[in-house]
Amino acid sequence: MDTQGFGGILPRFMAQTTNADLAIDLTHVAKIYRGKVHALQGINMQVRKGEIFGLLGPNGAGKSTLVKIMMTVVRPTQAQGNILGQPIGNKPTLAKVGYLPENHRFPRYLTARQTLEFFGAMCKVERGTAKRRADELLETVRMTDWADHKISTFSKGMLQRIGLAQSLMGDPDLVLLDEPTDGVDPVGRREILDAMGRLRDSGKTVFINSHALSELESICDRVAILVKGQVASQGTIDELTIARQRYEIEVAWTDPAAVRQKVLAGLPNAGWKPAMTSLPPPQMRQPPPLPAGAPVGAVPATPLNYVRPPIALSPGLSQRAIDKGSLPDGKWVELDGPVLRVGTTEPADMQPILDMLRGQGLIVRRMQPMRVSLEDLFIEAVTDPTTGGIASPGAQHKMKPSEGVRP
Amino acid sequence: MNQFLALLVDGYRDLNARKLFWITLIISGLVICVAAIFGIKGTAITFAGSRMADFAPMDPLAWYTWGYGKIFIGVWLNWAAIALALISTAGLFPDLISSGSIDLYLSKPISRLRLFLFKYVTGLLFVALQVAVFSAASFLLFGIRAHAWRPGIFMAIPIVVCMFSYLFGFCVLLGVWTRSTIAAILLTVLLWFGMWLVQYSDSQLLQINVMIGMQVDRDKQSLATTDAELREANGAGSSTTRPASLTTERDSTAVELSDVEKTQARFVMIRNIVKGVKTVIPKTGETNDLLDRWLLSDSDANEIVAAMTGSRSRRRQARGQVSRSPEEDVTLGAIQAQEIQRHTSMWYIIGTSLLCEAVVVGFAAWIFCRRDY
Repeated sequence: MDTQGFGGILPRFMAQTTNADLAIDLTHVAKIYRGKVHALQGINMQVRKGEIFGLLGPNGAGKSTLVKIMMTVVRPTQAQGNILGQPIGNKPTLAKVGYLPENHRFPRYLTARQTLEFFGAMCKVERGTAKRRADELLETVRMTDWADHKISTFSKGMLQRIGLAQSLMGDPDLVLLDEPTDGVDPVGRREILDAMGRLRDSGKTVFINSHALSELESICDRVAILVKGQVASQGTIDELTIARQRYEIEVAWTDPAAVRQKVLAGLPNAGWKPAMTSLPPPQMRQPPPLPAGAPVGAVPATPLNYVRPPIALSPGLSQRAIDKGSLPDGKWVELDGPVLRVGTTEPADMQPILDMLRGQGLIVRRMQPMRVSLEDLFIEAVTDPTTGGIASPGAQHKMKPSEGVRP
Repeated sequence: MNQFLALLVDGYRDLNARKLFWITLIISGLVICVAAIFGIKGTAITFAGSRMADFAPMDPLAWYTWGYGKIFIGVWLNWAAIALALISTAGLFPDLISSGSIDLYLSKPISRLRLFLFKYVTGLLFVALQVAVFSAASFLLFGIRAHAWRPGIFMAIPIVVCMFSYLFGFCVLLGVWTRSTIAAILLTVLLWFGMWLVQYSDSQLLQINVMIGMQVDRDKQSLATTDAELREANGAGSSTTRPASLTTERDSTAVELSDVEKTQARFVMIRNIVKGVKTVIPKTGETNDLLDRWLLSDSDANEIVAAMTGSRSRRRQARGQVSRSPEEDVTLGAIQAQEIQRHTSMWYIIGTSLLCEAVVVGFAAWIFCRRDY
């Protein structure tokens, strides 16, 4: 098992968790389409009972394939593991698993109520129970007024609400939702997220596949990032971000070359190496610069997801130079234009650096601890570490024999 | 509500929502209305109350039944309504396996095979409902307009549904394979035409073989008669030219017999090939003809064929087209061919057809169950 990709988190997690605690326990799940498209390359993934688990990844990473394998829509090339304690592919287990597929298509000739009752019957729910649950769920997704209208008359958001209700008809212990808030208005999104929270509170497990990273960040207990059919990272958001938390110092920037020269000279033991990145600076929860005279380390009112515009871009190319190095005590450090980042969460570690900057005659405009967002993690996961560019979307094609699926 | 019942109700709602279902039902009603213009009064068939044709001494009910079976059931129910049913149901599986739809079904606790079979049965619901309504209306029509209550007409339900199922099996296979409704319809219609062509060819070849067989019998009989006359003439020691002319006649008959036998062998071989092909394909036409067995006695059927072929021969002769066979041969050949066809085992017709359907549906089910969606 490849534990490197999980940042060492998985072994700790597995040690704490027994199989009985897991709603989903996947090992070595692989899917090869037509012998050449390696959609999944030995997925290992564990989801605890009673948690909300988010699955992210770029287009073609294999997220939907993984969900479809769990729901028996796609047949795996190789798969081990359990869902609700039963082997993958066990049909009776699906009575206790709710599923909302992406771009679902309900029969257009049915009304909302008939749709719920029909899929309730398909989940082997008794007729009386199905009728009662349909009414309750229509109320939950606020579609009672539309209960007897044809599906063909519904907007995408309304269809999504019906889809969510449909997934809950069997009173499932595990709910897999593929892009549940897609096409839903902000109020509806909030309601759906609240509904997921209530499901978790009632002991259900929720597995969400979504691109809405901010939503996932706000609600998920744990996440996994899938890239080219492999789990790039998996764990709680805190576990995944702790290694990437840092302090940032921004200095007044009148002469870029002089600033760079002074910083590099001030930290001569950092082993600086220039690197290129094709990305604009990561989207941080970062405030605008503090007003002049504000105390160093002060944290102003921060608009959520403030995005700093890209700086120092090469003409015609979205690439810029970043100097990277590490301090003698092992902390990583990088200089990105006027911003110096240091891999630490301790303010005390920053004091010598502040002294150095001042000693070099640089003016410190701000210093603040930075928290990495889920979006940062996502971008980092899909960035090719060798080129610094975003990996192309899609699955792995035509692997070499030596790169085959790991047993 | 169990899953099968849920799918059945869903299938009914689907049909209910399709305009073509109601259009077909309305046309069925119109067909019955047109049929109701015809009736029986005494020994005659009436049209809008006026005597149209007197069939004495034959029973006009046989002609009424035959006409109803050939025109209203044969043309409407067995062809047009089936074609409309195919158009209506061809999308059932392509729609089911479309992205976003199949996920909803396969993620439920129902096996793929069971889902496939339940949906397949649901597809037959269209024709079953249509034929049931048409049969009930036909039953009333016969009772009221022909004064004959014939419950045998309800045999149309299993027979037509069975015949439709042959085509639906191919339609499902093509739909599952190509995922395209249009491709499924067009290719199924093409296959249907192919099946009809094989059955029609077999039927015509059977009639030709029967008539050639009669010709062979006649030539053999003629040869035997000539041989006997020749022996008699030679035994009498006649010195006239009669033995010589008899010998010439005999030789001529022998040559003709040889030619006819060669032709017969050729046609028998061709028919065997066609029959071989027919054996393994669904027999749509012969399945439909089973209804005639229920509604018409052999004697009535033979009388009708004799009357029909006789009048055809007379028409040909009136136009100066002299038939290659004598008129009685045509009639007798048609009757014999019909008797052979009417006495073909029902189990052979339905059994081999259902076997083919089972293979086709089995293949479709295999594709359905093995595919990734």
